[in-house]
Amino acid sequence: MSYNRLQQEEHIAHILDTYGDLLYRMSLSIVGNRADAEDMVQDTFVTYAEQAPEFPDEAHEKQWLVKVVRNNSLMLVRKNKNRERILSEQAEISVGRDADYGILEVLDSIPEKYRTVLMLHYVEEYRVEEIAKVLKKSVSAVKMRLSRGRDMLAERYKEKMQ
Amino acid sequence: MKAEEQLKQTMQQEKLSDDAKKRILEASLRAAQASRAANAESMAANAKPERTKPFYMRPLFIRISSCVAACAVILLIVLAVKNANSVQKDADDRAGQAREAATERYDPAQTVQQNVPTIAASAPDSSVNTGVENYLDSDVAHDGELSPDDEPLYITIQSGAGLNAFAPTYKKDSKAKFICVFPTDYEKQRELFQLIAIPLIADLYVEEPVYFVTNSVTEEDGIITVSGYRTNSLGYTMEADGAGETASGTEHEGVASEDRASNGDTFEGTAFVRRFQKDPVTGEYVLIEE
Repeated sequence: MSYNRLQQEEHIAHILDTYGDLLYRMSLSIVGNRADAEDMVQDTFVTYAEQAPEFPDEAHEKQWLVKVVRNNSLMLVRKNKNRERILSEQAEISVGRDADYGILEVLDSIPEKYRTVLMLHYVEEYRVEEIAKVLKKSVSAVKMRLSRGRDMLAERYKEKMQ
Repeated sequence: MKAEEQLKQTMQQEKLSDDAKKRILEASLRAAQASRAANAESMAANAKPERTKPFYMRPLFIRISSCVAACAVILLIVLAVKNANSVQKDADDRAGQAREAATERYDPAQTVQQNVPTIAASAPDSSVNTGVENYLDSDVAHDGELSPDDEPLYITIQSGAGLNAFAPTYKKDSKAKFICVFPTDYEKQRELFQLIAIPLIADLYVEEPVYFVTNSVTEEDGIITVSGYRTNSLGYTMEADGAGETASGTEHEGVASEDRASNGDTFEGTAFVRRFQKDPVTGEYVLIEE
């Protein structure tokens, strides 16, 4: 896809509307706070605007965005090493919300490789094959991670609720 | 509610705020604009005026020079091969000539016809030890002795005195197999000696390989008479010119008779006379009497 300036601006606005929330949630599940998640989404779109990559279809474009935001988030986590912040921010996140944000605390306690699979499958409704492509893993490996992550989430959520 | 359903419900409430979207969009557009500007600047910086290749870098020149170089190499190879062949041919010719000359040196009859080098002894009034010297057309000069390498196939000596001087130095294994002894008035008869006497002795040597001493060639009324001696030893002194008689040799004064006897040499020579007449038609001298 080759765009002129106006078309590129329109396209960036379009993919921000389409994939912005998805990328934000992906990053939030990894970095654990909104500000960093927004920064990671912004970094991802800046990279997209600078590189102006070309894709054969929207599916590939979506995969590229997910991979970039995930990598950015993981790099930030490795850089900061202050994952304890999430605990202090859980209260902030849950203020004024109806949802049970205790599940996020449970999610944060699960290793990242299971967390990402759970997020993509149950929140973003990716199929197992799509997750395998994004993560560059085999379908069976994704299924295994999905199964173990689901068991961990259920077990720890049950413990937390008790 | 299952945990995964709870997770989905909770996470789907998390969305980018409008402010965040606006901020992200602005940042993206600025990045895109900066990227375009950077690209344009980079392209402008990289856009260099089209350089004209020097003539030696142009494909046509390279092709032509390659062809010329290849042709030059081929030409050099051809010339080298030709030169080598020519040198080889010259060497073969020289070797052939040398072989031919060597063969002819052992054929006295032919040698005489082709002016093989000869050596003449000193004149009769010169001192005895003057030695053999180059007289006719030989390039070989000797000082009293004959070198085996340079020795001619026949020797010309002027008169008996020359023979006396030469005989002691002559070796039996010499290549020179016959001797022409010239009379004192040799210069007057030189042509006759070369045309008649030497070929005659060469023929005689083929028939009988002994030493031939030719001591006179005379011409009278168109008849050329060649007279001399054949002998198997040079160890005697020629006392007088003669024809049609058997000459008895006397012991050479420089050689002891005991030594001669021990070597089994004899001191006798047999006279020979040949008469020739010039053929008016062909101009050749024809043998008319033996």
